[in-house]
Amino acid sequence: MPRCSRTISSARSRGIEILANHAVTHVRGKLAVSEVEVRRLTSDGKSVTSDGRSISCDMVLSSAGWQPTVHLFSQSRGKLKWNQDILAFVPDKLLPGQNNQSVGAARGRFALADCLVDGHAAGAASAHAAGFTHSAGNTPVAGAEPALGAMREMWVVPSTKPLGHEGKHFIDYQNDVTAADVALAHREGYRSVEHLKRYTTMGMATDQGKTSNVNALALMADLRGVSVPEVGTTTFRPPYTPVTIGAFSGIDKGDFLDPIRKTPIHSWHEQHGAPFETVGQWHRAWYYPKPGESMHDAVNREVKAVRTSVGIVDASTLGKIDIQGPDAAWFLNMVYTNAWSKLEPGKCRYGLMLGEDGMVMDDGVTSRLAENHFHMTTTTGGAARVMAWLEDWLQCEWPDKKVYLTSVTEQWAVIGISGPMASKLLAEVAPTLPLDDKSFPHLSFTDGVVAGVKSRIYRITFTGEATYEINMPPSYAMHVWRALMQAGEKYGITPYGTEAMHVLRAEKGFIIVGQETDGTTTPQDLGMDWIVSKQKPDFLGKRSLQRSDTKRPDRKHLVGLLTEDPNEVLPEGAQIVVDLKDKPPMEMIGHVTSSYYSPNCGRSIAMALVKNGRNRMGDTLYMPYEGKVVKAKVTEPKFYDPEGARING
Amino acid sequence: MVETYQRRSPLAHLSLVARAAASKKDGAGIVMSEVPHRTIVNIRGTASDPAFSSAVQNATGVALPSAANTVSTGGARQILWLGPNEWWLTAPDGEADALVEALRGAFAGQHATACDVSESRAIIALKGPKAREVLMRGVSLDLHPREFRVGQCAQTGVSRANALIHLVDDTPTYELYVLKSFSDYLWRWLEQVAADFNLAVDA
Repeated sequence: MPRCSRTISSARSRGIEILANHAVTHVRGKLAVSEVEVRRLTSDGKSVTSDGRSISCDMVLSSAGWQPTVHLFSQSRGKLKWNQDILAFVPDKLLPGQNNQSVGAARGRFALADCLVDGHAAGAASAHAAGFTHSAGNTPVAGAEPALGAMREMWVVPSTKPLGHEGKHFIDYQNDVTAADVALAHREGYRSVEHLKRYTTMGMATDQGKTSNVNALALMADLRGVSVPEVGTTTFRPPYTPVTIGAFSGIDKGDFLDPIRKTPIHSWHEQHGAPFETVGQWHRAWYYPKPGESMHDAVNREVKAVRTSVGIVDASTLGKIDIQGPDAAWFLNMVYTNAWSKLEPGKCRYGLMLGEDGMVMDDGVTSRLAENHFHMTTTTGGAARVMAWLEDWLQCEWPDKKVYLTSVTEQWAVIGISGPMASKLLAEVAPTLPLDDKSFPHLSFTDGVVAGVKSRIYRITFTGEATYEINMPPSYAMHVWRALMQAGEKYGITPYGTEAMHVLRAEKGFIIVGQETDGTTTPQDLGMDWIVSKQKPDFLGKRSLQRSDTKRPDRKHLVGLLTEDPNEVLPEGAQIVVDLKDKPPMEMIGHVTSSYYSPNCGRSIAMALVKNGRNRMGDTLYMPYEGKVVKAKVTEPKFYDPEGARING
Repeated sequence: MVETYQRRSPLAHLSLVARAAASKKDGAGIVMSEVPHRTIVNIRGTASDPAFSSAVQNATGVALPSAANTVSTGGARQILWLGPNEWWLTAPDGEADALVEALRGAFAGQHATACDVSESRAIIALKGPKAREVLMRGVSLDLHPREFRVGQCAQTGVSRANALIHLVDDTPTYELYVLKSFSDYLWRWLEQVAADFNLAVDA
């Protein structure tokens, strides 16, 4: 007994109903399928008998036989011919000079045994043609398989109503072309296959008509009263990619769907119950809940600890680029908006990188290791893009400049300790390190030994507190982390995750590229004109900052928002209006970019990009959402320690 | 200084030593192991400049490989070709600082650089008659020994991670250099594939 009839009888014996010669004539449900209507087909398949029957279900699958993948053949200008036995277009004549062979299912031989014979012969012939003389061995043999049976034409499933009435007969599922659209094309005189395609967009989606073209062509043939080959085909194009066997049976799912990049301290975060935040492919510790704590509780505790004692954070994912060469300082002057020539070795500086359009693209702290040697840091998510961007400029635009770049993101693990007790803690684990503000001031770095490990320590801050970013070989990162946790116990050292880090930086009004910026944000929009050099002859994006639109005084500016109710935390992305109306439409003048509860301010804080925002200081703006209206006052985007007094501990 | 036992290899969390002890190597189609802590120094310079190539040779005792995608050897050190102006010098653990210093000294007056990247990579070794078949499942390069010979190396994708593959000998033994952050993914991916070929773990 062929396997398919065995499957059918086996299904029937288990009480699964199989209705041959029936059609789904209606699908019901709003937003999701809830039931289908099924009717018996008449013997010619052109109409249905009237006894409808409803079956409740939540999914409808349909299958309509096989069509060969002729896209590559067709794109290389090969001619297709209609095969009435399998109701499909198959490859016919190849244009001379095109090295392209269609074998197996790609030329309409769908049975496994035929595919194996065809593929083996074609492979052997190709290998011989390429000069290999080995025997190709025996043709592989397939086991028994069911015959495909005779094909029955049914290009449109009939229903009780004419085409286009009550429900849609979709033909092209990607471009939403229906059978009624094809009929309309015919009525409008778009009967040539090229017109049909362009009038309806049928077959123009990324599947290039894989599931739809033949049905549409056959329907047009019916309407015109001609045969399918007389209607002909358009060119199937190669954007179509067959579904690979691996997509059905491969292992790229679950954990393997996409690599998870882990820092050398990852397992500690795991053991301490941290949920992870996905940043690019990295997993970063999000917060460290203690038993019984909610996320809100945990983040508040972490944020407070950094301001009152000391917090510790795994910042290993930061992008890092080693820059060497006699033109290195020149290069930085070009890729950053500010000036780098006078930065002394041993010192660090914050930099903003713009695209050619003058919009903020990335930021980070770069340090001068030696006269011609710098260490750049980038955002975690932007690291690969920045590296490619810098290489692009060096290789394509400035090949005469002597600069070499090496990604060292993973050469260094980074542990940040931040807070008023940070320097005391560091002094204990790095007793030989001079830590006074004179020998180790803010925005400088030094080499030293931390917990016995050769390290490089940067004194830079993303929290506004005195902060040391300890860089060490990843193989010792777990040891250094544990040593810091142990030595810091008496200070109540608190590991903090990315959420607390975001709150801390927002309290200080430090931006996150990609959160306060969206590719349409200039340094001036952010109130960061201070970092744009007026002396430098050129830098990437400089010219675009001179455009009338980028110089406009009423662009969207970064401002702070303080809600009237201090406990109301605005949703990020909330739209802002100034002329409040009963219902939309209202003119939206901006949106909330960052919003948190700040335990250090004892209230919610938010940043927003608001049209003409800097000229609205003190104004009240409205955020209507979810059936209510929240009022907030416009402020400077700095909420805590605006003078920056805490940087020195 | 810190005790060396405090040092962790990138795959330490997988307890490979314990697994190796319990693993039967006889008749294994493939043996997987981690090569921990190798010195890797990234070298950039102008290949056609004789001053550069002799500086490399003098500082390291290894000649730059002359052909693309090949590896040259000098004692326990090797130089792997990465690109027209980029190479990796590999050496036993602990030589990075001295080699970087020697190279930078030898490069005085030239535009050529050395940068320690030892700590950025994990190294996974695949050894055994089925090693190539395992790799083929995730690599689109032609790894047939006719095309990819002993002493060749290539940077390519292995499943969804980027790696440098070096064919060390004709057992065959492949060494895969991968960014440490991807090493957990790549090891587990290879292990899953290798399960079809009688896998053993070594350490």
